[in-house]
Amino acid sequence: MLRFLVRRAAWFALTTWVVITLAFFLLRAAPGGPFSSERKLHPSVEAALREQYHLDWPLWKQYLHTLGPLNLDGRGWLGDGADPFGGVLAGDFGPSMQHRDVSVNDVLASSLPISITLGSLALALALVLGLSAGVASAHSPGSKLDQSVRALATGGLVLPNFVLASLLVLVFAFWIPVLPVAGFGTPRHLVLPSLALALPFAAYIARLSRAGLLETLSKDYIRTARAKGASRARILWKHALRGALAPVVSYLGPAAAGVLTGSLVIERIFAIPGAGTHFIASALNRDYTLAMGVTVVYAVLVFGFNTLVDVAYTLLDPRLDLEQEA
Amino acid sequence: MSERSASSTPSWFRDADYEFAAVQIERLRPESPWRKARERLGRRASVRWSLRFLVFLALLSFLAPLLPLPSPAAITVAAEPAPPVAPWSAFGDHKFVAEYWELNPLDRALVSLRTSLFGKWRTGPWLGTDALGRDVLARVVWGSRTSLLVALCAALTSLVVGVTWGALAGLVGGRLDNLLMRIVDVLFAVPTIFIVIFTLSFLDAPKGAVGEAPLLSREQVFFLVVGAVSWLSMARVVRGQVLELKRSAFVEAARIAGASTPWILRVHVLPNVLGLVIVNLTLTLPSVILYEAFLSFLGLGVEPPKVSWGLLAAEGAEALNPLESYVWLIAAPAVVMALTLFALQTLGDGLRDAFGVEERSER
Amino acid sequence: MSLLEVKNLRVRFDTRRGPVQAVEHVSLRVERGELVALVGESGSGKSVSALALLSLLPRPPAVIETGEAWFEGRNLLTLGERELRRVRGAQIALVPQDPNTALHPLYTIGDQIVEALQLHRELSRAAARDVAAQALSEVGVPAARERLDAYPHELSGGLRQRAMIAMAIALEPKLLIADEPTTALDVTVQAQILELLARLRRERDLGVLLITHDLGLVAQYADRVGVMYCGAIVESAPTRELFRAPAHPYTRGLLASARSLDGPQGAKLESIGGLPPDPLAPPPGCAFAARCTFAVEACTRARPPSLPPSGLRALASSGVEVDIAAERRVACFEHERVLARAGDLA
Repeated sequence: MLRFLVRRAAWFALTTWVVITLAFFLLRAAPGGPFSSERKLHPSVEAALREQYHLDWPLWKQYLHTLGPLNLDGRGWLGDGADPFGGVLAGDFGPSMQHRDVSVNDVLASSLPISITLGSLALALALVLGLSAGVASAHSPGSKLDQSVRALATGGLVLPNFVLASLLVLVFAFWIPVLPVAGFGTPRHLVLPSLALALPFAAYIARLSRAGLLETLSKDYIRTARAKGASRARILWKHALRGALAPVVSYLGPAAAGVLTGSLVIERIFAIPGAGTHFIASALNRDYTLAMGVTVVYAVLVFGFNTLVDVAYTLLDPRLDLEQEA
Repeated sequence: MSERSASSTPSWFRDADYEFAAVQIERLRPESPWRKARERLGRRASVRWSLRFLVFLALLSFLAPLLPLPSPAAITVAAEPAPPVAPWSAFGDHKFVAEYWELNPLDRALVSLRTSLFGKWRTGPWLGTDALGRDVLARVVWGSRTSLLVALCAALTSLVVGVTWGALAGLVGGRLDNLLMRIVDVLFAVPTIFIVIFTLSFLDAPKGAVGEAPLLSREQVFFLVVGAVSWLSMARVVRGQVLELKRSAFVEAARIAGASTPWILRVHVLPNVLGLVIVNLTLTLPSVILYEAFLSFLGLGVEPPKVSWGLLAAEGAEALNPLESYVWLIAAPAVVMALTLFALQTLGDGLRDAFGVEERSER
Repeated sequence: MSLLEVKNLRVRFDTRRGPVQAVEHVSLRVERGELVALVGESGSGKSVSALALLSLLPRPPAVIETGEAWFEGRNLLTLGERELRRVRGAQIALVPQDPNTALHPLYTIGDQIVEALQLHRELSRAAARDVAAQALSEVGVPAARERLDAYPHELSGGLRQRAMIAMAIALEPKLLIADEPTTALDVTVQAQILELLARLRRERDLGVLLITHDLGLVAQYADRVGVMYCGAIVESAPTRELFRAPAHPYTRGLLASARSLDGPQGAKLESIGGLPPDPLAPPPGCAFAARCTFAVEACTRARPPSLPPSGLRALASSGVEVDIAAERRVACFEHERVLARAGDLA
């Protein structure tokens, strides 16, 4: 286990570094800087701003400063030493370039929990809905229930999530006005967004679990269970499900990443002040630091979740060995 | 045969023996996997219809400039979205205006052919019009071009880059395999959506800024980016299959029998990999089309006046409000997209059954 | 009353390519403490027959057309699911063919045996574990208590099969159906497993229905044998009688080919020529006729019924040691000629 975690940590460091570096250079390669989209600033004002954000430094210095963990400006090692550490590796994303008096860390602190709540809710919903649908389907393959579940699942897979969101809004906010259209604040505000976010993944999980269950149900050990005198229900829940869970668990990793991606759209549709909204705005406005901040945090979250999933996977199947991770 | 004494065994039984064996062997003779696959593919009606639908769509899409549709770009200012009108109530009119974005030579030729064939006749608003007076049916048909092109582009990149990468890694093995797959792993781990958004934001010249003309058009970068993201899973899948084949019993048997490597590649490896590649391709196309829709919604897809399904769906979604639900604006592209994706998935599933590929979830 | 009496079992599989008669006609009997072997080649329908008794066949596509399976005064084939569940495992236990796939890979063998116990008895987990450990040691698994917490993939093939047998006998069933229990194991282990089964049979007065294709095992352990070909029992007899004086050409062919394995070096190996008929297109008449060296016209026209053989007396008087009172059945028009040649086999 320890070797596995160490290897994962190294992998994590490498990936994060790649993300930071890529983000850094891509952002700066874009034409225009963070201040070009506003009304024309007086040259001296602009110069002062550029100096404040260290945009007048050579690129390599900006890079190292952003990367950290050493602070390279006046308050770091080279200066008076008041604030020696900085940069992403030290957990400091610096000041936002678009929102002048706010640090990226603050923006993240206020918006990230919202996004994480939404995302976790969506993932949980996807699992619950997807698994129940899959089990119901596999219980009586070919039946009307099975067919309708499969049709619904297909629907979730062939429509973009904003279309699904629009549908939900249409039905539950316009035609039957039970839920709020947009905004954030009460639990009721979370229902439609998390549902919209969850649906495509629930559909895929339904598919996976159904296929997995049907395949497992044809295995020899299921026959042994029947020969022992186990009931249909017991076989389904105790014997078959455990075996069929593997592909679902392994899908949770990509699903988490997908939920993240999908949240960008969902947050916009439902006007939720999460980190995703900030991210898009920051990319369009060349707010380097904020964009970097959101990117890195998301990358870390996805990576962490994937690692958890890998561990869970090996817990599921005693035949697997973490050390075998290629 | 044992126990045969001349007197007790009628001669015709001896013949029957051989004939019997011959019949058995005939029955057991293996069929070519391609023939078997083709037969299995055509077995289900849903798969056959999906194929027909996709071919029809591709044709329609390619011939879009030739069809007597209204212009997808002609704007009528201050119009309100009009609901669909049944073909029998408004079959068409003669108000065709040849207004398009910049078309390539072939399309232009098709348009001029269209005008000579149909004159100023155009179909009526069978799917309604949007807030700028543009015909929805025309936009859906023209939009299919972009969406299908995006899918094709991703497929091609997947094929060329992904298969080569994966096959190389699997065949050569060792350190090259390690290196190639590490790169894939890192790229996989990086949340590509961010890279995509960054890259596409390049082209978004900030308002008021003195424009530096970008190297590539937004559309070109878009296609590149989509392609760049799609080959990863194919590379992994191909590598996995090549590795499995390398270790398989029948390749080993062939090698023992003295078959050369090119022979083994051609006869044993290639057919088995090809099946997987085809299945994987068909099943990842839907996600590419959805990806395009996603980016279009965020404003990072093709720019107006060009049109894609994603853009149409995004516009339709934005037009929804509690007072006037212009349902057709979102329903038209959504339904067409859904049908296409469903056809692709059905076809993919059919191909998977035909080639006997196992379903496995993507890691 | 017999422990198990099967009458006229017929099972059909409705496949995509057409109906296949997997079991044409099977009637057999197993008494308490008796080991009855059902022998046949692959595809002869022996496993299907066994699984049909416990209604373990997937239906569809399997269809049990006719048949009765009397066990303890009840016809197993007419029992409802709930009743069947009570019989399965507790009264009649199955030892399936491949221990590598028959055990659940994600649960310890202890858990699996405990489950079998708790399904039928009111036992606490601790008590059930005790019984399980006991069963394991009875089947010869060393360090039984520790083994309870082992996963199937941590055990060797032989141990896995023993675990399966332990699970089968833990509830002290009256009848054990062993479906090719040794096919997936190597030769040295095979003998051990069969010895185990024989011992259990003796100690517990178990009835055992052994499905196998191995004549050697049959000769050594079975009390009675049923020879199956193409879904029908073509001959049944006490083991010794079968080997001494087979009455069916197929049986004869099997014995001859088995014996030729021990023949002098360089001698030709005997085999039964030809192949079994296509299950989708069964021939009229006897299924074996095309490969049979004793066949005559009549054999291709009608299926021979299963009857007690005649000609035993004549055989006995010709000097061959046979028990003319033994209970036997054979389905062959020409069986007398086959019996007459019994002397050649010695």
